[in-house]
Amino acid sequence: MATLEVQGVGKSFGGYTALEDIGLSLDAGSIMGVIGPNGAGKSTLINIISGFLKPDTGTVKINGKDITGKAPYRVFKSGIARTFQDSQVFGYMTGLENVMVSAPWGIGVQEYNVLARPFAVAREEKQKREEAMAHLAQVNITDKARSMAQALSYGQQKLLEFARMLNSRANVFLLDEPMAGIHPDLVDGLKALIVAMAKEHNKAVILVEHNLKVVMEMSDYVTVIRNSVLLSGTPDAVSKDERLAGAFLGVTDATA
Amino acid sequence: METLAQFLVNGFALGGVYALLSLGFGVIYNTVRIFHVLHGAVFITAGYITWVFVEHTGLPLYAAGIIGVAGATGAGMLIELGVYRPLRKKAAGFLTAFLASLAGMFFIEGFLVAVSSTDLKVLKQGPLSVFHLGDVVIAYFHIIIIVVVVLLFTAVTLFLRSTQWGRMIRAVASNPELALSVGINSNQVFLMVFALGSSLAGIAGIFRAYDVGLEPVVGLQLAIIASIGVIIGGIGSLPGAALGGLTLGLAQTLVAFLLSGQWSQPVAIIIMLAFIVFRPYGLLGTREHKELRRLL
Repeated sequence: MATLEVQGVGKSFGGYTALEDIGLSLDAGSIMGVIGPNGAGKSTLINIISGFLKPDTGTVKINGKDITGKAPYRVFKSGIARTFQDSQVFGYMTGLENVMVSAPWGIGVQEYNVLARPFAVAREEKQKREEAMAHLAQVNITDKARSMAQALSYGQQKLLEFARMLNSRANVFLLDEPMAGIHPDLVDGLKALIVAMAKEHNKAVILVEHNLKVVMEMSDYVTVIRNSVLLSGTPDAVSKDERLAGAFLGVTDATA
Repeated sequence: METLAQFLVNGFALGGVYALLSLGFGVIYNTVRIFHVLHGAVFITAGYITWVFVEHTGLPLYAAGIIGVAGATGAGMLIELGVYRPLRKKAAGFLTAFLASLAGMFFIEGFLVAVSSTDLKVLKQGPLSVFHLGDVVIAYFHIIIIVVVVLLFTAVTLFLRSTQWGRMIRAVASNPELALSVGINSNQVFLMVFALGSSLAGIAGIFRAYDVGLEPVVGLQLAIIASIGVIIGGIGSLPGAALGGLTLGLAQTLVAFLLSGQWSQPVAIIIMLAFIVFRPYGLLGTREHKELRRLL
């Protein structure tokens, strides 16, 4: 049973069919690159998997559990974490708090425990703080633990997002164009981090990118979509397939 | 000198009640982004419930007070569930929610006039017990108000800074869309915020009912005071909200000393206008933060 399974997903906006019969499945420890030209429906797919949009047809399952159309916070709790195209942080919270907030479980979540079991809550807080610090260390921004997130640079905010995802107990990570807007010097570090998430932390990673080269280098599997699945397979097989060029035909932004 | 000390004690006692009220209004406004006029109704609800229990059942004041605060908390949560949440589901805008809240406030006011007349309801009959410090006359009750307000402010600050719930509330205030994607159920957080803000308003309502007393029109007046406290303190800042409420209390007391009590409502409005013109980000807000995204 695959960790993440998407079957027959379709979505229209008015008369426009954004996605039609999309299927993909992914196991823990592997990276699936999803590519396609602008307007191919990549972000729509991410929004459907993460619960921000309800699909018209099809199902999304995680570890066999159907989560189709569930609210985003429920999807997160079943183990799917995501990033957004621009980096998203809680601006007026510190780096450490940004990471800690992605752990909405434990006795501290029951508000009455704050009064009824203050010491147990305090112990749990300490443990959560240590875990969050460890995840900040993994992305090398422990020195930003006490800074307000809005004061961080764009790249640091991106790293903070990764620390936040690692801190959540999610086992599927959806990354929506993580390289966009990143300084070229930082791209290699970010790539290594994404690979480490899959290989060391055993997460299933979906990597949406329109930079073909990056996707081909990093992914175990590649799916090419243009409103429906055009091609899928290993990076080698896909890059040799003549239909790949056709996927981007008539679209000018392809960075192949 | 004595006059100054006397003014400070009275000013802090009044300002303390306003600070609680503004703090409650601020917690709700910063998180839910609703101009919660019904906060005034919650405030008087606590006072009226307490008065009813003291007057008609002979319950001791502290027990009636606990029921009063619980009633205010419940009323606040009911308002969220029965008024704001249905409006949110229909994607109603800020103005619609504000008008619904204002209408609700008038409804409650009319209801209270109908069932209990416009008489002033005072919990404490007769003069407050006082002690003398030199020539300054200090009511024990005013000291209690000041101490309780300081304790509650500290507790709320600690709660928001160092509990998972506090972080969840601030996360929704800071970035609602992202909050959804880290597992936070914003409806649940909103309900919690209404409970928190309304219990603060309830405690303020009982303080007010104890010495000054309550009448139906006070609800709307104090909802306005609460919002002015938040505006002059700096929208988005809770210490600012408390400080804003305190400032209003001191200013009104000063005006009452120098001129007369009738000027206390106008002076609050004048202070607000002065802030809007000369320092729109308030006492503790900063220039960059005036787009309202901060909670602590």
